[in-house]
Amino acid sequence: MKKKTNRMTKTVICLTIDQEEEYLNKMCAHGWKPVKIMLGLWFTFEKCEPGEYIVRVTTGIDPKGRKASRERRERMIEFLTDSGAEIVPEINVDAKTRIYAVRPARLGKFEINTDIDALIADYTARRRYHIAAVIFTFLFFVFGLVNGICMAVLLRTPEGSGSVPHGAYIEFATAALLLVIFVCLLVPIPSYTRKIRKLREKRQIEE
Amino acid sequence: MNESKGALTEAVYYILISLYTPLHGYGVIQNVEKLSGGRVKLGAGTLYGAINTLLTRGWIVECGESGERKKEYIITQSGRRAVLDEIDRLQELLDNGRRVVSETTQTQENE
Repeated sequence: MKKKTNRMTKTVICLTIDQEEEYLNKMCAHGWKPVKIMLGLWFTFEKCEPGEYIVRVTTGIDPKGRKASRERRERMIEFLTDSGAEIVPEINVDAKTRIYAVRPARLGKFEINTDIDALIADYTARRRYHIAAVIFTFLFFVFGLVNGICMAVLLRTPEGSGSVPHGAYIEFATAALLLVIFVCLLVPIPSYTRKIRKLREKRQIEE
Repeated sequence: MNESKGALTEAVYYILISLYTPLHGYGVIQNVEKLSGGRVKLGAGTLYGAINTLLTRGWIVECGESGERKKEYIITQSGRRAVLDEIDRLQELLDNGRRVVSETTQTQENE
């Protein structure tokens, strides 16, 4: 008989921080609390009461798009843990761009940014993160595409079938995948821009 | 300092007046909530942004660690000046607001 486990790991691709936060909160609502995140793809959950926790994901990057210093990151983590949240450990190549905070729902509403300036700073950081990722992905896409074309043209067997080498197909497939990721990363940027603009308009008449 | 002449946000104002005595981050959150009668609840992100800005501007400084090894902050002389400027600004807002409202009300009653 299969043993009932209190833990499970799911592979999920969330391209935006908003999507990730929404997904994690949905899992909490169904009684699964995140306990470990690996490479931003594998999420380990532990059984909890449905709706027992609220998750907030915040950026560990500053509004100028730079990664926050270790000291600043520690400051943010200290403020979060002091207010009753736990930080979900993240194993990643560069695990310094996001902070996952989980807080019991019984402690009340869990909002990280409670004023307009902090919200603007957070959305600006998210948008810059996406812009940087879009540029990075696009460059890799172009590189893959050019590489694939070069392989197909230059390495084509001169005699016989004249077939395209397998390597070129791999390059084209990778480029296609990068193009999909590029589009997915590009889509949320206008929505962040709209949110920032609305908040700036709001700030002109209230705090 | 020119920066001290602008209006402070509510969060920054409350953080600054909380730091007339040394406090750590969560102490600030609790004090602000108490001072505002529960109306202003600072989120960790809001406090984080404000503390970073205030440290950069030199309006507050770190002044050691509390018993639980948490960093404590205290207002500086330039921070105190910014608070006094803000109190003057708020006083002006109140005075002008009260004067205009009472004058208008009186005129309307006389008519």
